[in-house]
Amino acid sequence: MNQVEPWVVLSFSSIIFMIGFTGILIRKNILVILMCIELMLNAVNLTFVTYSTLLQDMAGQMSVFFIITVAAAESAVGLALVIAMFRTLRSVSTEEIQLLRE
Amino acid sequence: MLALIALLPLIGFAINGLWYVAVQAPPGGKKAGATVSGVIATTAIGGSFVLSLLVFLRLKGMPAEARVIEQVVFDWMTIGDFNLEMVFRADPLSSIFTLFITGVATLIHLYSIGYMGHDATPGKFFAYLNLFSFSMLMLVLGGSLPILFLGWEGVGLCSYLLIGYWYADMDKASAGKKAFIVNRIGDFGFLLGMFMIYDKFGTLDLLALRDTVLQSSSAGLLLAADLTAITTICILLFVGCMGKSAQIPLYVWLPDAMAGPTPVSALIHAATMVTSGIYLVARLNFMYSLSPTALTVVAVVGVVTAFFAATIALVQRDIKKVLAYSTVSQLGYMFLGCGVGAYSAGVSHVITHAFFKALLFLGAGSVIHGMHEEQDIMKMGGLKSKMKWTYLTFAAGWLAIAGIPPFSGFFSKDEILWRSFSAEHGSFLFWLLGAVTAVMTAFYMTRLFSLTFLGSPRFKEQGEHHGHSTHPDGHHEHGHGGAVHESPMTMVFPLQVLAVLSVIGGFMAIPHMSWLDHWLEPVIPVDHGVAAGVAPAMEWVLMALSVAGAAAGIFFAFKLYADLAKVEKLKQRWAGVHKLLENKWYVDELYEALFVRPIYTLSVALWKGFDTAVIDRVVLGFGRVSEWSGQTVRVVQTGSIHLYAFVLLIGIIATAGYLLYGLA
Amino acid sequence: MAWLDSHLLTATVFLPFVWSLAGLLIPSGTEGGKTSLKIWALLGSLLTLAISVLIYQRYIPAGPEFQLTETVAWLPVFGISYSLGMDGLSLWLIMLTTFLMPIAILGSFNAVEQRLKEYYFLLLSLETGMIGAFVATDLFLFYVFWEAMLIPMYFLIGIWGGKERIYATMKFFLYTMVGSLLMLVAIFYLAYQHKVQFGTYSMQVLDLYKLTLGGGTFSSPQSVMFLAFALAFSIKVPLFPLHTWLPDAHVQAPTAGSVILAAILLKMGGYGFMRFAFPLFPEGVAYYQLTFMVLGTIAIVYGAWVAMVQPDIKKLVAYSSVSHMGYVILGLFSLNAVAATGAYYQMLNHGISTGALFLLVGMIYERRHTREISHFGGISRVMPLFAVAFLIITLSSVALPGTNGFIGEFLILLGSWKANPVLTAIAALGVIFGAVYMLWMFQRVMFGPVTHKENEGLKDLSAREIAVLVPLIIAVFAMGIFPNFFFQKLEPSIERFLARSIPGGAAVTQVVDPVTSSVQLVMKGN
Repeated sequence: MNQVEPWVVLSFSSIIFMIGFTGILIRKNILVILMCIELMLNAVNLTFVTYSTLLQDMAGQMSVFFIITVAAAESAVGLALVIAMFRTLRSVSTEEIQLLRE
Repeated sequence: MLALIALLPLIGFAINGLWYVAVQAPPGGKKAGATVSGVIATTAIGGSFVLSLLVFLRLKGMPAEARVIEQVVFDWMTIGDFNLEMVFRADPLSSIFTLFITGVATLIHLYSIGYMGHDATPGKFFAYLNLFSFSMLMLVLGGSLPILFLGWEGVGLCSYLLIGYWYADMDKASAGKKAFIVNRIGDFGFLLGMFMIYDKFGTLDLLALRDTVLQSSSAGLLLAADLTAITTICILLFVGCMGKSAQIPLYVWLPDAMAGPTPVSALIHAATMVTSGIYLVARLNFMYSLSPTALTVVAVVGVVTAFFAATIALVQRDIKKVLAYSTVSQLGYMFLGCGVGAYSAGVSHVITHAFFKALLFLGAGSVIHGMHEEQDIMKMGGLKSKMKWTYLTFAAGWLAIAGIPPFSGFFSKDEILWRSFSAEHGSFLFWLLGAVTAVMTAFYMTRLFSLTFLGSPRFKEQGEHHGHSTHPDGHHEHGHGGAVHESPMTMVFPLQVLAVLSVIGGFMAIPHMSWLDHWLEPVIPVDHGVAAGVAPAMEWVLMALSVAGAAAGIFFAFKLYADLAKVEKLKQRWAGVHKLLENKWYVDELYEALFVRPIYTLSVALWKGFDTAVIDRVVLGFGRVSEWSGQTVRVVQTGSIHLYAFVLLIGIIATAGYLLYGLA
Repeated sequence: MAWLDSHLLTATVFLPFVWSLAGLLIPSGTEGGKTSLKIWALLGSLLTLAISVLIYQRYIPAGPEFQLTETVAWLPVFGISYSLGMDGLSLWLIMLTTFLMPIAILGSFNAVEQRLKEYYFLLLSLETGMIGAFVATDLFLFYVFWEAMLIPMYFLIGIWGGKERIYATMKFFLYTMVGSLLMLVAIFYLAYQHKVQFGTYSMQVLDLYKLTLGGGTFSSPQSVMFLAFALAFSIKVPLFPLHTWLPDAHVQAPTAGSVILAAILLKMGGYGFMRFAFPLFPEGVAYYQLTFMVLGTIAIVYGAWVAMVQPDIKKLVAYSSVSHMGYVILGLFSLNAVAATGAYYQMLNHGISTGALFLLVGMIYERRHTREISHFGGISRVMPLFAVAFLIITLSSVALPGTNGFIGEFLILLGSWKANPVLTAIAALGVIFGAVYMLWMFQRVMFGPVTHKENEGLKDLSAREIAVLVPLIIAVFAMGIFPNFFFQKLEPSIERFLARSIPGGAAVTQVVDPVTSSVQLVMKGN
């Protein structure tokens, strides 16, 4: 069996993480931002799994399960909020929604 | 049994009070006549009278030194070694007080059935009267100072409620409030006196206190500092007496208190409550006797009050006001007696005064009732023929207060005058002021008597006096026409009883063979000592002088008030003095300017100028500072998620950099 | 039942909260739903009252200091635990809380008509917070309950309050937060000191009582820590000059809010002094004794004076609270058994009579929608029963002997005379001014002719309102005539409180006047 080198996986996850982060920085649509957050979370998951095999420690795998559950809950709540926001404000753009500023 | 004496009126109060609350007060409640409430209340207090009589007889059956009956009902307050029992105690002094209080109160309750016959809320009235009797009995039967104080404040409360009984008239309500507040000023002194006693002697129980004081004084343990403390205590307690017994400078409430129904004036503001100050001084005679200074204060305040009030009484036109100032004046006599160490003379005047002043007030009430709420003596006259019984009984009271032998007032007043001259703490000046007051008393009482009952009527009958009924609901109090009429039997009977007592009441305290002195001896040591340089024969001389003075007062008053035109002329000539007296020396106005206004102004200033302007500004200043700093910092809160995220990124990079490579 | 036996305090504390959570499920859209919600809340508070009677029954004055204790480790690393316990000091304040809660709820049945569900939820959770603070024996837990109490109160005033409720809530919050934060710092300092002196963190009061801290100067730990605690408690009491939140909060709060605020929340301050500030820092107390006695005395007279000139009845009652609570401070700082018992009793009295006054004001406000004294006059004729109740409560507030108020003021002044006669004499002036402002207000509201025709048709008390007032009136007289019933369960706790609060311990509790002792010697000789 061919093992993938750890650095390959880690670089891959870093790239995904950075894609997600950049997305948060530059996209205006909240829906897309939420997806970017998911991307970042999964990048972290990948890192966890990698280290878990590398260090022969099951704690990493456990954390992944945690993160997946929490992420599922988070996106459910997040999407609900986005929908509620769209209903009241007729927009999902961060440009137009800057309520905290007032 | 002792507790029951006080408890019976309380039960009467509860019945009448609950009846009022449950039946009369609710909207659409039944309006009931006075009879049922009156009978309940009178029965209750009558029962107390019978019990008091039994207690008195039981005490009489005991050997003189052992005459104390005690009843502990329950423990009131216990904190560590501080213990207060709800204890009642009857000894010669309190038994004689209970006896005349319940006796006079029963008569006045009976009288009220007739007097309040047309009232809208008799249940309330009789409940208050019973509550008063209860408190008054607590006051005299209470075995310790706090219980006495309980009664003391209780009577003050009832006085407040009853003065303001016709509360729809704001002036009457104000009079009640004034009475309560002025009494509170006195109570302030009373309270401090109590604290000091507890601090000094470790007990508030009257009997224990007496033993402690007497024993430590006979053992020579009281140092100069202790005597000073005793003087302070006595004066502080006397401040309480000034309030309750209407002495200068706290007498101002009593004349205003005449706003209450007349039976109330008779019971509370003449016969019983106002004498509680004398009771207190007599009760604590063992302390007052240790302090010549305090005694002098008592005597001076007493005699000055007696004189001062009598001058005002000379010119008042309201029948009840004259009697009120006369009461203040007579109370001054009693304190004069106590102040020269003749406590039992003071007490005997309390009792005779209770008889004749209650009689006079009830007689005045009968007149007012018959005249349909007219109180101005200038609008009376000639009632002699229209109200025969009232006239006759009133005459007895008049002669008694004027000091004509052998009516009761003569004996007690003369004893006080003699002792004020002859006793160790007495002086000629006391006697002189007292004697002049006696002449004035005879004068103004004769004036009152003559203007009310003699001469020709100065009023029109039939409907003339109808419009201004002061009762709360404003409806006409009397269904029958405006004719002046004699009062019903329930009112006349008490008058007759009291008249008899006023005539013969003095015989219990005939100088030199006084039954009363002897009876009180276990509580008040008898002291007939005469100061050095006073000849015993002087007693007869002075007695003759004061009787002659009284007779002269009566004579001149009769002569003067037989012709009102002459009076008018005299008034013109002395217009300044007359105005001063008629306005009661402007004392009320003085107090208003000295105390009431400044405190009110100060309070407003504190509220607006300190609470709002200083403290609130500081607190809100904290708020302002937070708000300002928030405003300053909020600039960075742009609301743009992207910016936040970017700052986050920089932060992470910086942190990671620091952790990996340090600052270098 | 067995669980209840061993968790009586937990049950009392959390019953109202759990009950109110269940109440959230009641649909409150319809009239019937609203009624059932009200009855649900009332039942909850009555049940709590029933349980608290059990506490009264179980408490044995002669027993150990804290009884019915429960301890569960919470954050053991920092010595924080969930520990409850009660003694005489807690007992009567718990009883006061559980006694007044049903009354306050029943009293506001008609006052609040919107957002009922939230209203009763907050009221009941407030009860949980209050009882919790009275039984917490862990300082951290106490702090949690102390702060938890604020939140429902904040909303009660802020949502159901009067016109200027936002201003009032902000002021209320500003004051209380400033005070309690310093207290929190002091609590941590104590826990840390425990670690220094005994090796472990602890927040148990009984442990912290054992700390030895320096005292005697301005900057010594005892003085500083005492001040930190005292600030929090003085604001709650409220002590002059930290009282200005009270009039605003009272005037703006809904009736039940005012009742609870005056009757129980203010007692938190006095209780805090007695449970924490005094026994923990005896030398701090000694250092600041005179200062606080002076402030208490000023509060008595100042409160009475300012109360006198208030045009608004509720504001008048609020300032009268300042005056009455001044007595509590004076009594506590006199440091003797008579005054301390009086001070504690005065807290209960104030709860009963001021609570009742606010209820009465609320009743007339519901009818007239005004609290201006000048809008009334002659009410006595229109509402005779109301007048009777008002009179009785007024007299209790004026401290007439025979009512509860007298016992408190009398004992406080009697005790404080030993500590400082001059201040006592000034404080006793409050007796006069107390009568002035109460009776003057009473006269202007009740007596005279009916001057406003709106007042002509006012209805007298309803059966519900009578049911609200009767228990209070009974309490007024019961407490005035049988104070020993209350003192019995209180005495050992007061003794322990004094023994800890006086530097050098109980030996000096009784300062004996030399003359008195010689006189008493003579007495014994006979």
